[in-house]
Amino acid sequence: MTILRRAAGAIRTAFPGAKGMIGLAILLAFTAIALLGSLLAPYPKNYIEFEPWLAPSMHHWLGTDSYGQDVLSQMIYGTRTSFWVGVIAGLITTVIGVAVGIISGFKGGWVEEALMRVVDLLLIIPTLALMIILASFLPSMGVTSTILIIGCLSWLYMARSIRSQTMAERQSGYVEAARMVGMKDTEIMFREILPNIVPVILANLVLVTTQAVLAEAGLSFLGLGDPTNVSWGTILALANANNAVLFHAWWWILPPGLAIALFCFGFILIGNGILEKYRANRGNAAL
Amino acid sequence: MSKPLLQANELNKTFGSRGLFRKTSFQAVRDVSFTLEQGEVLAIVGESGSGKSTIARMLTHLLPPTAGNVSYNGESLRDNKALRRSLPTFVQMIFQDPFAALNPHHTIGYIVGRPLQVQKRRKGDPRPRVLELLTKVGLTPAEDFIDKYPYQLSGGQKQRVVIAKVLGLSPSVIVADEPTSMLDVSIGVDIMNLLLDLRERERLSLILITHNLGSARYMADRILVMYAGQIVESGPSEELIREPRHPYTRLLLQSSPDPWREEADAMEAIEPTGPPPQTGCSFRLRCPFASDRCAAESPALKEPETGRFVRCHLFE
Amino acid sequence: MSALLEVRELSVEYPSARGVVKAVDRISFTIGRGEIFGLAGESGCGKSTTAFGICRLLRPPARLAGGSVRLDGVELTALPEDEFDKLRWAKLSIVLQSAMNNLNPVMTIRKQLTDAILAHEPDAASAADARAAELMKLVDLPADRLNSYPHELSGGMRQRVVIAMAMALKPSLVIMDEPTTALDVVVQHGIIRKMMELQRRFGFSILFITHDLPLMLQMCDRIGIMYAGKLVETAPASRILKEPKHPYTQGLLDSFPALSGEKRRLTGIPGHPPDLIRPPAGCRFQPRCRRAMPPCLSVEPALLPDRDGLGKVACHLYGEEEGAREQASAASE
Repeated sequence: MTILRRAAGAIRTAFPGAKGMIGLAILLAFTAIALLGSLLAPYPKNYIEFEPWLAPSMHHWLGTDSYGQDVLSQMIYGTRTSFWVGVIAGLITTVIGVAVGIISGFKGGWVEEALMRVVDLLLIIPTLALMIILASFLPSMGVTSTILIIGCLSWLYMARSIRSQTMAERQSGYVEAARMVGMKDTEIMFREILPNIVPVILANLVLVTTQAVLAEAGLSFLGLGDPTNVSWGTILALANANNAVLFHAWWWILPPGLAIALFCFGFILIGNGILEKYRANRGNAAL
Repeated sequence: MSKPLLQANELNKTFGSRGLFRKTSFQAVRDVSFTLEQGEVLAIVGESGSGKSTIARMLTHLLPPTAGNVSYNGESLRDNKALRRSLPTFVQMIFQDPFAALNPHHTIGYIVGRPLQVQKRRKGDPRPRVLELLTKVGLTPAEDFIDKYPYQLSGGQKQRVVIAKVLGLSPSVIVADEPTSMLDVSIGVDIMNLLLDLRERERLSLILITHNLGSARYMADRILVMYAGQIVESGPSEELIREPRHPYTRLLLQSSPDPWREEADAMEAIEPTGPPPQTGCSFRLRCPFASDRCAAESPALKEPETGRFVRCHLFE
Repeated sequence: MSALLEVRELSVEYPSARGVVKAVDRISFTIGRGEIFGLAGESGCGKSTTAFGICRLLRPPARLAGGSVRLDGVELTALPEDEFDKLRWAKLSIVLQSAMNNLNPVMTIRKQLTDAILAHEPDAASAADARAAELMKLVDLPADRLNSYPHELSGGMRQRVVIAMAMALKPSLVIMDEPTTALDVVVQHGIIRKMMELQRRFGFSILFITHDLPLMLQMCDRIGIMYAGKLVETAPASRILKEPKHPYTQGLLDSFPALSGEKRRLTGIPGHPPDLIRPPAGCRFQPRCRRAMPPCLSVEPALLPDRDGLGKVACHLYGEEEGAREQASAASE
């Protein structure tokens, strides 16, 4: 009991307020669906033996698609792919973006020059085009490749905005004070400055995760994802390819679209929740 | 002869910025030399832009000097890498803005305790020592403060936290850069008194950087007046305040509000119209006593009386 | 000497998350014609808020919670906005600490000065330019600076421009809120001297606000000391200097290191200012007061005249001593 209570307390401090709790609930629901997918889905994956174009009914809550697959089951299996793409690509992006941003912003000099030139170079390349090219060249286009491609290409803007924020923080008194007591650069960067740029990181994280889910959907939509895998993006892509709109099959289009929106919304809520807590910690000072 | 605790030798600092088409440079500090003895309080007084804060940052090696050298107990900071590494335990700095000097994200306990670990002053839990330090600076009961965040403290309390943190490293010299200028006066007096008490109790030497002659007189044994990056006058504080020599010191003194003072003849100074001239005496364009010689040749820092230094052709 | 400005029971409050903050609590004072009156106190005591309340510059959510402000017999608090705009600059002008940084960066000084003149005297178009040059001369700025942009001037020069603007329409009251706080002492000294010279020449009144009590003691005729939203003492400057009555005034005076006289240890004031949402019962200064007595804990002292009528003080220490106390309270009933 005490452990439970303590865990509840820890969650409440990490995601305070109603917003954070709702956001957490949304993401937990998606996590559960992603993990328990096969147990929850009413029908097996890629089962295509139903009558196509069925409107929602008791047997098929979200109807069936033109191939005769149960849309709800597809949605549930698709959650796993989209969820991991979003979360892992978001994490990769954040780690690279924060590291590059803080180091270049703090160190300055040639380190900054070098890192920022690399960023500039990569920024010139149209990301989507590169993704398409890479995706078509890679031998197997599994979920992992998709995650890696998205993760490794979306950190650029994040690195830039974190760099400029770090440069501003570097001027502040507490950094000078940290130098004065002899703290090492790594400690100043990651224990002194990092907590103070959390709002920027969060804002970027929300953006990046959202983008990753959308990018995966985009790649799938263009037919560059793993054809054997289901994701919210592939569902949308198939719906489009099969003219779901013309057949008024809203049950095929709306669920994946809404799921993407809800997933991103969950992230935004958590982000806002943490921001509020962060502000309170600084005496509600303006950021 | 014993070596002075701290010696600044011909310190120079030039800030340069290379633009696309031209290179601009600005000499913030020019040939500044002085010493600080054990237990002494030295005030460096000047207006904004006089270079006083730059000196503070060179003494603490936050900024390397362009030329010149700082030595502690006769050991040169420039040549001695081991000294540079252990410098935090020798000289510490108190910053002007206590609101910015504390990381809003850490608790007071962490802020005061972490330097002890960084400098290996404490094995294990620093908490007991932090409590002791907080008590020492008058943040009592210390238990009430140790887990708070900076925003929960008033400005004066924040400055006390900064002092507690600095004391933890038991430095010999504390450089205080305008430690009270962001605080209300009644709170500022408390901070000045605390620093004076600590000087006695902890055998500290202090360098006070300030724009306020009153605080300089109150705190310091010796005052050093800066103008445009140079020392224009220095001497024991009471003497310097009673009988200022350099025209700039006189101007500064008569401009500082002091209702308790008998009104003396005011010196008619000229309003500054631009940056100080690069040649000759840097004060000459504002000086009512300026002559041709002041434009032709820069005055050197002379010692017309023992312990009193003046950089002016009038006193040679 | 009849009063030019009469402030009576002025209160300003603003809501906050924890409750209503009474930033200024029923303060009353008057400023005579040609008088320089200073309001001193530490940050958060309500001195600037009082000034903002008088010249209707309060920003929401701060609001006037009561009281009256009469300038030359005209009630300012009840005046419609357009009527008040006519008064502003013409009878009452304001110089703020931030004003020198609030000059329009993309307009020349000439344009800003002439605009200020034309806004109130639209017919003066032909003379405006000459008037601008005259104003510059008034504050000792060379006339060719009229063609400068604000960033080309030093902080002190910009503050002089602001003062020139405030003088443009020959107001009868100038409110100055920390006009020289951001400047170096030498520059401050020059500006204050200029201000005093103009005051002697034109005879306007000044409400001068600063935390720098020594400066105020040198230049003001009469001074009001504020603490935690209350006026705790008013008296002629010389009286405040030689014989401060309120313990807070004494503590404040004892916080400024002097440049003359015997060097002695200053005591300052222990503790810190109270929470204005839930101020302490009785006297607001009581928790920090070395001379607090039992009545201070429960009875709020009123601002009552001294025996000689020169000053007023709100402190129980002077309760028994002053026979005037009962008379004054009887008179106010």
